[in-house]
Amino acid sequence: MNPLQHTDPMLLPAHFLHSVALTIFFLPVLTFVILFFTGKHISTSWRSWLATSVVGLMFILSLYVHLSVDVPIIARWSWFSMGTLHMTSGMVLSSFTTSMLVVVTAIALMVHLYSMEYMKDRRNHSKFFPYLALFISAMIGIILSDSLFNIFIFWELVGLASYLLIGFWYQKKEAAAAAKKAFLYNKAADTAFVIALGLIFTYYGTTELTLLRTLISSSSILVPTGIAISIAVLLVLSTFGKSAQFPFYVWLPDAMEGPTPVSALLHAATMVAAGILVLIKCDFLLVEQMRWVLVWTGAITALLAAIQAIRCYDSKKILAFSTVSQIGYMMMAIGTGNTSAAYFHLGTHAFFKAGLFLSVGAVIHTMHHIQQNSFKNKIYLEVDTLDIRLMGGFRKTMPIAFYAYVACYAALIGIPFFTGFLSKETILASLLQNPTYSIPFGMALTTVGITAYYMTRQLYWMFLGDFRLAALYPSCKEEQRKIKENHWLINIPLIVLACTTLSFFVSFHPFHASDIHWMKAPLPIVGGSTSIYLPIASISITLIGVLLAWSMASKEQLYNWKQYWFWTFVQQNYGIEKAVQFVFIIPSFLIARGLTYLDKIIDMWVNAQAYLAVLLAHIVYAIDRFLIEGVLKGIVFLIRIVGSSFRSLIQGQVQSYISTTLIVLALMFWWYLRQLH
Amino acid sequence: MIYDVIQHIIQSFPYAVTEIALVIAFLVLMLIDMIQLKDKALWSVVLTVAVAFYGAGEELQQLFDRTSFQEVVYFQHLFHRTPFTLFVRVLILLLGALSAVYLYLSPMGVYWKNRGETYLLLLAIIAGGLISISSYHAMPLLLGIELMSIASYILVAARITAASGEAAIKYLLYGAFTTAITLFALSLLYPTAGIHIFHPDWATQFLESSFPFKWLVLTLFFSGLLFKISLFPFHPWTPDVYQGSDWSIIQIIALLPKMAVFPILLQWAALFGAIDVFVGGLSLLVLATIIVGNTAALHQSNVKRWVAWSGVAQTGFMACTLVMTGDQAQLSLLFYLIVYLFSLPAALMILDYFESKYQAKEVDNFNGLGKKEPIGSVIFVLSMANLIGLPPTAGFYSKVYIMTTLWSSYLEQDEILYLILLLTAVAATLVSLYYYLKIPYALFFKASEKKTILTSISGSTVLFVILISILPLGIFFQPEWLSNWLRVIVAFI
Repeated sequence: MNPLQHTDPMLLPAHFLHSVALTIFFLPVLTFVILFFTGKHISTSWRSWLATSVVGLMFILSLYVHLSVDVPIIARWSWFSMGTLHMTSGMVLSSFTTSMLVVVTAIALMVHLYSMEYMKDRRNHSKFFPYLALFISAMIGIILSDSLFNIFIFWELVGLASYLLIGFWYQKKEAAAAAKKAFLYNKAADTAFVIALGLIFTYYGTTELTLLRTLISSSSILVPTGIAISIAVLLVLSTFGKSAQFPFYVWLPDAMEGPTPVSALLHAATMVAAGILVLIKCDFLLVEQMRWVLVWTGAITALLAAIQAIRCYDSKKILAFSTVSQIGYMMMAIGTGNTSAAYFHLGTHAFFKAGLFLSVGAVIHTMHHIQQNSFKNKIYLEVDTLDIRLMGGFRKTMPIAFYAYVACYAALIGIPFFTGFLSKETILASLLQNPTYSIPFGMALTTVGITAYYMTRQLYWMFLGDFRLAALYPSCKEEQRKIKENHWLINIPLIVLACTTLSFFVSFHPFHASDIHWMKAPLPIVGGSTSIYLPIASISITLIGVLLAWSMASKEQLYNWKQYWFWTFVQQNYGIEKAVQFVFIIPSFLIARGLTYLDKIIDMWVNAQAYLAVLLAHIVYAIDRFLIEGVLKGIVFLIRIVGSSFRSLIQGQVQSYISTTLIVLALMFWWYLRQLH
Repeated sequence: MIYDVIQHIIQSFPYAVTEIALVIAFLVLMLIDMIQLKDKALWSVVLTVAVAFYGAGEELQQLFDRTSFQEVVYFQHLFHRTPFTLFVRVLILLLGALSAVYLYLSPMGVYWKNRGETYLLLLAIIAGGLISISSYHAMPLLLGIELMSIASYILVAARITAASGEAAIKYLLYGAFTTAITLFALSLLYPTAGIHIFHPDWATQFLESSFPFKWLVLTLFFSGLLFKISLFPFHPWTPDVYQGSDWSIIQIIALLPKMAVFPILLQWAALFGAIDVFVGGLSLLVLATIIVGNTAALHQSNVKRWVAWSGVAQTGFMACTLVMTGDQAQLSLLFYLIVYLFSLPAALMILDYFESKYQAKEVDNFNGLGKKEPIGSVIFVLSMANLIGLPPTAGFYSKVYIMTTLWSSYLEQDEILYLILLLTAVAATLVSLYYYLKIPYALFFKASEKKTILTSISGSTVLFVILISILPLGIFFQPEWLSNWLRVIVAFI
């Protein structure tokens, strides 16, 4: 076959809905531009209301588009031309992409409402909403684009926006470091995306996904098996970065340094969802061998991250590990070929994970206020407001946050009648159908139990019992009495998100995901539980986890517990960073040092040459000085003599003018006479 | 018989409508000068520019008329009209308008712009140029040249200072001398071939004539013309006259005569370009002009003398094209003329400004002024680049056209003189680099003697200078724009 061919995709006219979708895409871009450049010149409340109302409008438009789309419609227009190369950009509107659009805009709306209150008095507020707008518009770009090339651009923009938001409080050293870490791990993975993109363009001649799908399904282009495998490997690697899979997931727990609404958005709808979304879109590019890798990586990630959450005390990090673990489930689903299940879990997870983050955020917000108020009373509490060891007792003081948390918690650990149960069952069922995946299935089932364990533990320590901060610092007792429900702007998103975790929100059948009503996957959902034993098994494992946590939690030594080497190892992210250090960074430095020595040797050689050159230059200088310059000076002297003689000939006397002219005329006369003869 | 003659004369008037308009403007200006008007200077300059534009419009209308392709001889074989003369007349009128604007804006020219006779004499010079370029016969040519010359003498003298008086009397004496030679040559030319010098048969008659000294006579006849463009050996007046005049006057006597006289010489060059004696004699003069102009300009410390000598050097470059034949040579001359004459006022205006503000008469007075006058200095550097022939200015193409034409002429005719001219021109360009960059060097690299606050050039001056500088810059990026146009015009010579 001949590489470097170029397939000119057919241009397709845009439907009315495409312009609506483009409006949805460009609205946050506009918000970004306006808010970024007006900056501090407009007031905080104006800024918040503008951004939030724009997102609200986007949500309504998304609903409209979703309800209007029936069969997939594609628009494709010319983007740019270079010589014979014509790049196009395309937009695909199907019930799959538009339902994702609804999910993203809905979560974004909730997060915006929440942020209006949560971020109100925080530092650097003027940059928060523009960055958020950038984040959302980039994500919408990924959802709607039909061209892998465009997706890559938005992919990078998502990376940039996440970098800006994770490091939002960049004055904090940890926040800056976390942003850098997220950025670098993502970039390392993105390199794979670039290479994959290049390979796809070289061998298939186009990056339009719709076109690629037909090219591959009709086998009209035969690509060497090695290349096809490389493309799949590279694509999967790049999504491992963005979707935080083993071994790239270490950036995600650190990313909790960002504001809580950002974490909610990042975990639910934008950043980590992007990787899964791209894999779902590029499903046809995955070869068989890669599916196996996906299932195993997913299982390993799910298990490892869940184990890490067991001994974690940071309220947000627990949720971060649970996200990594849940994304592992989605990877497994894609690996088994059941992309619809992956998408279904992505959608349900988006809602309940956003709910979890926001309800935990509500508690953190209160904790933060306690810290601030005592600071106003000249008492500085040097405590981590995210630490669950200092919380407790919020069930009574903040019931809305508590019940919202419980609803989302139930969805996450897979209690029946909640959405998480349905989607998790679907994934487990599709794993069970393939007997080669029995070990990953076992790991997934174990993870279900561990998830139930660590979530119950978090529930217990955060909301039940006594308020331990007041026990440690008696000065906070006064503050404890003042704790009350948060502002309605925080509570409304919590209530809405809690409602969305109920199973009828996505499916009317409480135990089977076969009749999903609005969250349309690219293909109809297959599977669900084939046998009655699977839900029974998972429910009982969940219950075991919950009970175990309940009984263990009260006994858990919060401080000074004996540190086994195993837990140290777990808390150090299983040594992934150390491995990166040993495998990449230290060898790079060694090579660099070696090259420095080499450079010094080269320098010596160059210096020797330079000395020689200087020596030669001295000789040449001598020649130049005495020989050439002498000649030059002679010429200048000659010209000067000639010039001054002309000048002196006619020094201002009209007689001399005339005599000069006459002499010349006489000379010419003589010249003519010579010509005549 | 008489009736026919009168009829012919009446029919000739439409061709002279510009000259008539100039005469009317002349009279009106005289009236304006006599009654004490409040904004006399403004009225005068507006009238001058208006009549110049009116004339240019008339000429352009005739030029774009299809009937202008044919030569028209009018006023009893005294004048003729071809597309080429029409084109040159347009250029003279536009340059005249530019001169009037310069007069009004010149920082040193307060004396001149409030005196009515300045504009009268400017109109006379424009009229002289028009008459001489249109003439078909030697007499109107001589009259036109004399009209320009005499007006110039008065302009130089009109300041009534010792310096200007001295310059004017030198100018007059030398001019009278050249006119005398021309008249003498005319009397010798009359029996040789007659003096209908632009008649198609005249050249054949001249060539067939057996008069042994006919070429010398022709050279002598040219002396009046060469005096106006200050070609060697008729150049010596230039530095002294320039030194004794103000910048407003220099720009008139340096630009307008060149615009009129070079095209006249070009018409002859087209006739005699293949004749060895003509080419040989003229080449020697051109060669001498280039050498004399460039070497003398090297060591001038006085700015006006330096401008004068560099003008002589530029004349030498332009005159290179007169010794060649062919459309390319004619095109390069017109290109050079337009670029040079329409961009030189910018440089003169800046020098004018520096003299009015810093009494900068010597090159040393410019030391360190670049930091105080950034805009003016940068534009000055640009116009110097234009005169040297460096990119990004149209002067680059002017020089390139002339040198490539010399080279191709050398290749075609294998005449060693062309090669010598080419080599001299290249060497002279290198030498000119030195003297043209003398003032920019002083502006930017030498320390200032006096401490003055940072000021910037006045608004109207900077506008004038920038507007003029657009031309060489624009033509550099699109030289075909001008040369394609000229290619059409030179076909009619």
